[in-house]
Amino acid sequence: MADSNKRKVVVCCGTACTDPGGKKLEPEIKRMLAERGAEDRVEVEEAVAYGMCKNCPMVIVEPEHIIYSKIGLDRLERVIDEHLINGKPVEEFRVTEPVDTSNIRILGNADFFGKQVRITLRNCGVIDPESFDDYLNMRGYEALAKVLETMTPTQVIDEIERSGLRGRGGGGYSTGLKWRQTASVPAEKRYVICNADEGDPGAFMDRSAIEGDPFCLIEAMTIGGYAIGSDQGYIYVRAEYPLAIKRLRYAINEARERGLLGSNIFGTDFSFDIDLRLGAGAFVCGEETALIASIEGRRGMPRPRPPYPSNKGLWDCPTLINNVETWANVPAIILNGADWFANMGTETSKGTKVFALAGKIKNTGLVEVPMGTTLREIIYDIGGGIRDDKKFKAVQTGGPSGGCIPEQYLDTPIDYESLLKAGSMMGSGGMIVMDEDTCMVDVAKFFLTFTQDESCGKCTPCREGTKRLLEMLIRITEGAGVPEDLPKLEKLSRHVKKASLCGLGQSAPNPILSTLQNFREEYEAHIYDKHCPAGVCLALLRYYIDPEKCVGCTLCAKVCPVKCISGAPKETHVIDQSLCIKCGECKKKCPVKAIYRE
Amino acid sequence: MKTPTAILADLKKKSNNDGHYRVRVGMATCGISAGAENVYKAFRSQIENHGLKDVDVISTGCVGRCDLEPMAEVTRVGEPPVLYVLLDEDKVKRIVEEHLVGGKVIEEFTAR
Repeated sequence: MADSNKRKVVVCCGTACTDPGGKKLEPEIKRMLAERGAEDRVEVEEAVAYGMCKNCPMVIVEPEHIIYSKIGLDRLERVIDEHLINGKPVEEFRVTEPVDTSNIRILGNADFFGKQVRITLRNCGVIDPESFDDYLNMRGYEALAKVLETMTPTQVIDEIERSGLRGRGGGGYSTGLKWRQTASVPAEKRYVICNADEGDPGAFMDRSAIEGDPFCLIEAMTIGGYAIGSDQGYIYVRAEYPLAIKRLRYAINEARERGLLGSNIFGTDFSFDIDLRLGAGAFVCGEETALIASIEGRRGMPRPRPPYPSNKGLWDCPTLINNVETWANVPAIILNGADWFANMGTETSKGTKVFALAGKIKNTGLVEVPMGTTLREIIYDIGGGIRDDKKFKAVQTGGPSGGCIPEQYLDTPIDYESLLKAGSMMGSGGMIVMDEDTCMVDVAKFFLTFTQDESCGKCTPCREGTKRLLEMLIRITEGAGVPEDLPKLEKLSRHVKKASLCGLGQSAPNPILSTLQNFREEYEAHIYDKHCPAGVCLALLRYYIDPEKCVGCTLCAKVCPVKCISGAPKETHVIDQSLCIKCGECKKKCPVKAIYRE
Repeated sequence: MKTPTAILADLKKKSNNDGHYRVRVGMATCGISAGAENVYKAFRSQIENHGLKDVDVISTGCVGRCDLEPMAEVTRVGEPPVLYVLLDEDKVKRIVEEHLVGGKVIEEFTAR
């Protein structure tokens, strides 16, 4: 604090909490300070304080670092008059027990964190993921202790079902229902699996959760094992996540050493162990039946369902398989209760969702928001808006299985059903923002290139269908598209969706259908005009020197890497289109802006 | 037979409420890709150079602002936490000198 007479008051302004006390308080504080002419002597700062909600509304006064609890509007006057202005702390409002304020994020205007509610990511960035003690200090293993001491397996399942938790891997199936179904199948042996094969390009929610808080996943699966009657769990992690694998191995060993994994957990007669299985680079192994085949040592290919894994899964035993993020919610639900969870979100989608925000956006990163937060809030408030202030074009959710949502749907709340209605889906949480410089045909081509490559080949609609769809898209982006391609793309897409064996094929055409629906004019420009409006498809681009503007300075010819520009000094220069590689260097170099890209 | 809750209480050690500075360096894949390993090493070596005995430097996961990595958060019980972003070895040198030793926050390195 530069000025020793100056005080600072930090107000918790988390806007996503159930009681937005701080948000109401902050303008009041500013108003009262102004009334007393004290606004120069007291700085007001917004922050977000995780885990301090029982003190809400809460303020911290610096430099004395005094934490005041329950400062409603009635108590505020005394804090302002007595402490902020006259320097005398108000003892009776103070929080007296030692409080670790390291969970407070002060970020100026708190826009990035203010709207977030970090449940699955509660410990990420806060604890040392390789410190068992850190995990315990953040209420780690309290949920498992509570479960083993005070709850029956059925009660655990009831709680998860009541919470409304739905699968976060993209399917959105009721987690509690899945647990109940797996537990109810009569069997000698049952298995628990965590699907950590996060394969969507651009998605890194699960990776961050595991790297930042590996013990949480282990505790959650142990609770799941107890609930459904299993003594063996597997975490299937993609091999492309070496740090996550390292941290998981470490955490599993630590947990075993402390008697919290393996035989007789916490000294009870419940035993449960976890082993890792690594993926080998196949996107299709994120599909549950292909994943199970992979663990069994067979080739990762899906099989028809029913039977579902909850009935017949790993080695034909009832198997509970859930996504990392789904698991990460379990300890929090056990500790805080199903009602707490169900109070967040929308009617049908409870709790929070983690998104990997990427693309043409100012603040990229990992965000966790309550269901019901709108796309606009995520992109403009948390994400800070479009990079370079360009024009928003679409937001892609759900990875290769999803669709591109255009501007008119920006006020769609994040919710399983609403995103389907907007022409996309929740997916695992990838959210890619696109601007005016993105070509939507190119986007469809990108995703089909991916799914075509990853298709396992077992069923004809996916194996052949994705190939033909991709071929058409490539031709269109290279200027060889014909009008018949559009109805063909639509028809084949619907066939592939309907007749493919697994989710990969069933959803691979979604990017095509969604971009055709919302950006048909771009496809038409590529086909009829041989023109790419966004200026992306290289084959359709032309660099052209305007003879009216060219002054013959020869700078472009000098910088051209293939020497395709001809012209004498002081005379109009010309680009040989047959040699031009469309690198754009000439346009950058031209001092009179005579070169156009069209 | 001890209850799980009692066993858990035994396992728990007292948390770090003891007035030490704690530096958390973001070391998830995003941080490491951005160069956090050098930042972590720089903190360790600078702290040793200055002979600071009780500063904890730990690695932590991804706090979410991947575009601001490498990041490090400096906390001490009784003080507001400070999040330093876009770090390199030179900035770390200054942070150790001016903040950990001198007690003064370097505002320009924070996320504003």
